[in-house]
Amino acid sequence: MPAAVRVIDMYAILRNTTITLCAVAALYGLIHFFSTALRDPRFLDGWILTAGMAVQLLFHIRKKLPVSPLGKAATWLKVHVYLGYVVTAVFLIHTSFSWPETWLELALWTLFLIVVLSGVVGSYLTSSVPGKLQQRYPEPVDFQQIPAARLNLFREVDALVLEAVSPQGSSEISEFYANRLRSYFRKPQNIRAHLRGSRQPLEQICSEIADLERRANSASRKILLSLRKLVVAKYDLDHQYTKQGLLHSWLLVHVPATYSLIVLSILHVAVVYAYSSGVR
Amino acid sequence: MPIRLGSGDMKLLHVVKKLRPFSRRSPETPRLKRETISWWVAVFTAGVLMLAVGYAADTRLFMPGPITSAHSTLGKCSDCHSGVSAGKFSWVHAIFAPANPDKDSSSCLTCHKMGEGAKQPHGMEVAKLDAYMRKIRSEATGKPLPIASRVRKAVLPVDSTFRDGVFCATCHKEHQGENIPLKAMADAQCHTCHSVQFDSFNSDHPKFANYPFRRRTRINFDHSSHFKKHFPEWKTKKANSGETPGICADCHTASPENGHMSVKPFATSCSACHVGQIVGVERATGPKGIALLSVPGIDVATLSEKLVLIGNWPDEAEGEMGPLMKLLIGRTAEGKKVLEATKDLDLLDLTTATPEQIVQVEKLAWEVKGLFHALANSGTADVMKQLDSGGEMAVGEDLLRNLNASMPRDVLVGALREWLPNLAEEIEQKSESKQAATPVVSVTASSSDAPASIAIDEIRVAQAEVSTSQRGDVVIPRQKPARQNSVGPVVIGQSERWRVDAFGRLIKGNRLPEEDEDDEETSGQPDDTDDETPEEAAEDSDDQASDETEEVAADSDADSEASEQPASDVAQIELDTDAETWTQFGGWYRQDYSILYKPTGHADPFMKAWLEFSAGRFSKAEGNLAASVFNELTGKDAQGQCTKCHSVDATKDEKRLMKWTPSSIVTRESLFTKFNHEPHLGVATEKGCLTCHKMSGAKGYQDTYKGNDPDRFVSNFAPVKKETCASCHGKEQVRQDCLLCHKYHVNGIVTPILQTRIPDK
Repeated sequence: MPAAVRVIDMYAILRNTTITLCAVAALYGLIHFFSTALRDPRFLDGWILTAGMAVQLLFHIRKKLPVSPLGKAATWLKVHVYLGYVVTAVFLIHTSFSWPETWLELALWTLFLIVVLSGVVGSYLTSSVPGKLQQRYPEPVDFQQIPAARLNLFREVDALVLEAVSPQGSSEISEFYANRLRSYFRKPQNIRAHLRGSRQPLEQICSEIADLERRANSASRKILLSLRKLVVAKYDLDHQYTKQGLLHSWLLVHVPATYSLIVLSILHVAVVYAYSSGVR
Repeated sequence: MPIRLGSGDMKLLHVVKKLRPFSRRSPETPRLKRETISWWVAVFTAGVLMLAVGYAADTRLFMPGPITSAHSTLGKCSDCHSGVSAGKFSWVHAIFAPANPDKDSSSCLTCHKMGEGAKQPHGMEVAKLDAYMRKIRSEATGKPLPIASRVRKAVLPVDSTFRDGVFCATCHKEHQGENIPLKAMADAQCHTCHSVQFDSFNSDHPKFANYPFRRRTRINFDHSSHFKKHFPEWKTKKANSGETPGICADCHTASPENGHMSVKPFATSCSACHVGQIVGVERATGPKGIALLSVPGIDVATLSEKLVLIGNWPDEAEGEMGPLMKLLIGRTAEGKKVLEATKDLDLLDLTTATPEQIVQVEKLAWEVKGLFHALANSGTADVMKQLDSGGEMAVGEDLLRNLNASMPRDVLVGALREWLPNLAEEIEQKSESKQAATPVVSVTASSSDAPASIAIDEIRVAQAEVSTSQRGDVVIPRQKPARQNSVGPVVIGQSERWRVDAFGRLIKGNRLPEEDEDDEETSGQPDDTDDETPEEAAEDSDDQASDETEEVAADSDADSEASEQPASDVAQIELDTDAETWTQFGGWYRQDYSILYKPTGHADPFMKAWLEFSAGRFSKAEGNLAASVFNELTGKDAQGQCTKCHSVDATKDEKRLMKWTPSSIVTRESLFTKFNHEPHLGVATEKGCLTCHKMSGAKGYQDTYKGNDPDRFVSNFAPVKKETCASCHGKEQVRQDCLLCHKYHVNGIVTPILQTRIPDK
């Protein structure tokens, strides 16, 4: 990435962070002002919190509408992320910066924490993983197409190995495939190594193929060369699967937790108004 | 060959587009999967909540935060939240029902009692608060309001919010934690309503206005004169050394519970010098006791001349009725009327009185007798109950008890035996004559040597057969000398068909029933009474006295026996000391024709009761009997000298209010300021109390008490200045917030005692 682009990004981050902090300070001042006017600030900051969560939810709706006149998805994402920090601050004000002590409080706290933490992790992954994948794979495979691509590779390597199993051919390749590579091509493999960014499993397989090559004839060497390429391709596919999977998996926490949080929040608001003394 | 990640043949991957899907099922996108999971999670959450509501013991499960530990014993949410009932799902209805802060506050007030005006600002009645507000507004006039306050007032107006009151939840926010200070208030919160606003005490808090003196001291104690005149040796004295105080703490002490500097009790501080004034030891002239009951002196001779008869009346009586007696006479409308009619008359000289005045005097005499009879017959409490005006003026049991100071019956009976020996009979016959609506002839039992007279009221007897022409036929007995034990009914005139008894009643027939039994006693004929020996007379009188005692009040045998003791015997005892001197420790005694009470000491219940009673009924209106009593008891030479120290305030309705106790934490109720002396005692300079309380040296302290306006006063001490407080409370780490010196709930909060039943076993 060019250095100039990085500077602009830093400026945007600085600007957005400043806006966020100012918004938090302004809201804190407003709530404090409200509380000193002999009102119950918990209603004010509660509704600010609710409004913030509603705006966050709009992002979720916006994502369901790929073609929408409501602005770019990237802009929505930025608003979602920074507003998330503001909402978190309001949440802490609403709870008077105290730990949860009742069951409902504990449930609300836990879900909010899950949503926030998963959001923070997702925010990091969303900002870092796609760029790296783009850098490594100029034309990355769509996450939904990866299983099909894996199947294709599996069939191709299957056919290649069948070719090697001929009267003229050696049985070493087919045995190596059956014992070592078949499971490798069949399912996503080495997820931990991909998460760590390690290439050790790939080097191990390639080393074993190299051993075979030393003993193979020229026909077999040609097959082994193709096999090596397919092994590397599968390793790349698994790498993409792992990384793109990360981008999707945090949402499996973030979104359901948000749904659950909404249900609890509705109950919380209902209970608060049911038992309200009327001083707001 | 080194392998580089990402070096795989991408073309191989591109063929996936041509491939069939991995599964025969339609591919489920991650987003769709996520949505499905999310919805299921939401449904699961809702289900769990429904189960929780259904199976939980109560709705406390859903509390938005824990309640304070002090309230944690409250069992149900509905104990405080008036909008919901105890049912598990009752709160669902309450979501849409309008909140009722007034009712919720009432729930708080069941435990935290605050009296009237609890929901008004400062828990103060609106009228009282208005007075304070006017004062504060006048201070605020011309001072610009801080910008923050202006904004707050514009954005969040207070007046409309608190139109219906300031409810508990306005300041006390529950469900914020077990240990949060529910009573905490920020200065800004006070400023929400207040017109005078400032940043801190040290900077621009208004200067103190004559603090802490709002009024004259309740106890008239002139520090200045005591130090200069009465305690000349105080400078050389040590603490607690004898009668003279050496240090402030000899008379003052800080109450440990609230830090109020109080005055030590009379017995500790004042008794050594002032108790003699109370019990009358130092009184040179006049009676040392105050007369409750008296037989007033009446010009009996003139009444006799005018043929007005009032029954037996001690001609030696020369005194006047005291104000207390008059008040008792005036307990009835008739009594009041009579008193009013005779107020300017010289009862001891009726020679110039008009016939109408004579009639009033006659009535007065019967009112006096009626009072004595009622007191002897029904008891003092019953008579004094008739003083009860009801309402605020109601006379309670305690006051009744003290108004007569538990006067022994024998004091009264003994006195009546001497003064009005035939009282019961006279009253009975008087009563009968009224009921019979027969003409009444008044009889005057005159002095021993004056002949009894008969006067037949021409108007009254006009209808009777006893005409003026018959007067000559009426045998006028020479009545027995007006000794205290003179005989009862005396027939003073009779005809063949009618006779006139001692009370002027016309009775058909010419014999009284008693005459059948004892002609001699009741014939009324001039007999040998004059020739009766003293022993015989005494014997007669003994019999009479015994009968009288039995009639006055049925009593125990013991009492009867005691009262049968011949009065003359007691009277014949030669005593070296008079009754007043004998009653050196105070109490009831009889002197001349009065029953007096001598104060027993400080806080005498009789004096206190009469002062309070008359103060509460005081009026400047002419003829106010209570005012006469009050003036009598508060005069310069009044017995007990109560008002020498205890000040008297005038109330708004011109009544009087006795100030029995010095300033206390109770009297400081309804004040916005509070001060705890105790933490300051350790940080005072070497000047001690004088660090804050400097002697003013101003003259005129005593003049303050000549009037009854407590707000017009001169203090012995200079007011405490704000700078004195600010010398410490302007520094860092020393509190200077509003609630340090001011209180919101000016009338305090009382927690009612538990209604605990006494255990059966």
